[in-house]
Amino acid sequence: MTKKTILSVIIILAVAMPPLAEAQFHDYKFTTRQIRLGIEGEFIDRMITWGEDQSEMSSLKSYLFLCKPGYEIREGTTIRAILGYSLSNFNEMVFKELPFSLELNTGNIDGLALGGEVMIKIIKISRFTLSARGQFICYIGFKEQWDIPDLNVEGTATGNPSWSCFTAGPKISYQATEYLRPYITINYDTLWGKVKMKEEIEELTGEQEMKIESKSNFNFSVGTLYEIIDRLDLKIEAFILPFEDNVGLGIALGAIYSF
Amino acid sequence: MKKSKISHTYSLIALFILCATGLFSYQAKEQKSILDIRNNQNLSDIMTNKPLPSLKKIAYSADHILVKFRPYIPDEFIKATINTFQISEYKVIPHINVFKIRVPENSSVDEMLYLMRQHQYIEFAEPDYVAYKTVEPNDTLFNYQYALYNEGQHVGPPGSPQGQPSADIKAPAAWEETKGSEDVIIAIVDTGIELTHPDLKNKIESSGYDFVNSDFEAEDDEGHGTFVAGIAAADTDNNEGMAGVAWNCKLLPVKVLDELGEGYYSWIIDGIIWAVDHEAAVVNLSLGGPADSYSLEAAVRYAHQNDIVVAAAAGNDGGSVIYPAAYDDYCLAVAATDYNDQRPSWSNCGTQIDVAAPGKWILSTYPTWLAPPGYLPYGWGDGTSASTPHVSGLAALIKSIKPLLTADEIMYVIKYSADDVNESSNPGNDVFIGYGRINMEKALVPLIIEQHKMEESSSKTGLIKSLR
Repeated sequence: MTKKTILSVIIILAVAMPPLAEAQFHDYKFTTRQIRLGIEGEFIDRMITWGEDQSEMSSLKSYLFLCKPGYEIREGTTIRAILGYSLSNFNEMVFKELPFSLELNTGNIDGLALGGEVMIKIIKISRFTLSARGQFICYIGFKEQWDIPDLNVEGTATGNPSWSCFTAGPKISYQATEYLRPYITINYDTLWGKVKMKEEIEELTGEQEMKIESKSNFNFSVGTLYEIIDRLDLKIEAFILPFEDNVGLGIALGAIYSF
Repeated sequence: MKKSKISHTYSLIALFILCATGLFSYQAKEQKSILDIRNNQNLSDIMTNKPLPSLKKIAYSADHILVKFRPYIPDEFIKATINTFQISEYKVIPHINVFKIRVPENSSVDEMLYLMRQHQYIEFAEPDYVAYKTVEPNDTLFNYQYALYNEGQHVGPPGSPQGQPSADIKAPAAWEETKGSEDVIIAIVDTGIELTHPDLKNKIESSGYDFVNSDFEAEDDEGHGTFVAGIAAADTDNNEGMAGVAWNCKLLPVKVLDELGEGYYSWIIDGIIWAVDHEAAVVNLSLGGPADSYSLEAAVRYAHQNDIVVAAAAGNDGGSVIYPAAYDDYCLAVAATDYNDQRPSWSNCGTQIDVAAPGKWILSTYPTWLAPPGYLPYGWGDGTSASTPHVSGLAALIKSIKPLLTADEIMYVIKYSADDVNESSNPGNDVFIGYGRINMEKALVPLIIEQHKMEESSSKTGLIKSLR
């Protein structure tokens, strides 16, 4: 692990620790409810590989705005559906198998995000709870069309991206106070997908399907839940996705209402 | 209890803001670092990313770095900081207040960058990177090859005209993307090639075939084929002579014209078919005649059906397009332009013209036996014969990086990427220069698709034109 990765962890822990330490002096009480509705915004910047033999690399920035209706089957065991809207940015990806090579600099491509999440409580010792969490999100990008510039005839490129992401791993949460429950997670994390690009320039047409894979295969996160008012919890979670000598980063902000 | 909860709320909001701003500012710095140094294999792990194979290696000074202090830091604090880092030598670059700092002897660039980037007064610290000119071959006569890169230089010896900058086929920019593959062969179906020419001998795939004398040695006894071959694929970056369009591609000599530069259609037909059967990817035909011929058409059709790109000269008498260039479905008919992107009056015209390429004051290889004593075996020539191998070279480069493209697709790429240099008088595909003067950069370098969406603009054509 690099100095940069370690530094990132230290920064996040340093930011998260003071309220955590303060919280230990308070009583704690989190109530369990059967039906929950979460709304979350999430940003993750991760490195992906693509191209011949997955030898090229660029950043995939994804913004997710998710609605997570959930049902708590029993205390600590929740299943959630994930429905939402997502923006994914594939800039710098180059399609070299098309008659005219194309490089994407189109910014965000919007689409639907669908999936599910399962959380199972394994054990609770004192104020610590060990759970297992698994999440699957599928991004289905809307087909978009752009002009192909610089040619002496008109041409269009049509892009159609999609990806899936699976994350699973243990989560250790700490009941710091009645209202505050910080946690850390370590996850197996993998993303795979494809970007289809079609080129149409008068009689000339071409199509390429580019496979994408995440460079990093695990992440760890630090977050906390905070009951801001009765039945309403706020959530913040910061992700680090280390790969080789670098890291991808992410943050999630959300609110969870319990019925 | 309520107060405590509100206080927690504030602390949590503060935590949100801290985390969010901290993460995003870190993210921004991280991203910049990746962009700046993405392919530097020597920098330490404090700022490296894995090399991206498609990008060039980035070099930087081993003893200097560039540093900028935050704008509100007083001078005395800056001086104190400089002393803290034991910096004895620096200069301030005016107007942008960036300090060029000599790294102390007991430190390294990596260490200094790491330490300085942690300092609260410093806005940024970065290596003093090395910039490069774009790919330019070291061939001694390259400066005379305005057709490949026109800076407005004299196009020939003293007294020759000066060209208009950018009236060229943008070769150096395209060579950044590819210099071609040795597996791609350009057949020069012509008077043969001087097989021992110093700037060609390493590029010749085999001694070819001579249909004039019926032997396996397509030696040039006229000079035209040698001249054409040099333009298409002379030995490039070899510290002598000239550069060819297709640096790494190979040449296959096929002799179908005699020592007078004349040949029967039957020889040409045999030559085309022999080239196709001997793994040529591109057939260059800087020749032609006024007569239409079923057999000649059948030969170029055979090449086309085998996904061989055929580039043929339009002719030099100012008349209609000659054959085989006039076989529109199977050949790229090539007209000429000059050092000002103007069409010479002698360049033939007609609806079959597909593209143009420079064909006036073109430097290329002369047979050594043709060069007078004391002269280098190079000279200048005019004609669509000189224009055509520029197109053949480009076709070979496209085939090198996109081997799955068909002949038709390669022909479309060459046509659609051409610059419509006579747009003001004859916009679009016209009878004089077809789609325009070829542009290697547009044909080979990835085109960048911007955010603009189709439905957002009602004047799409206007946008495309403005980008030209």
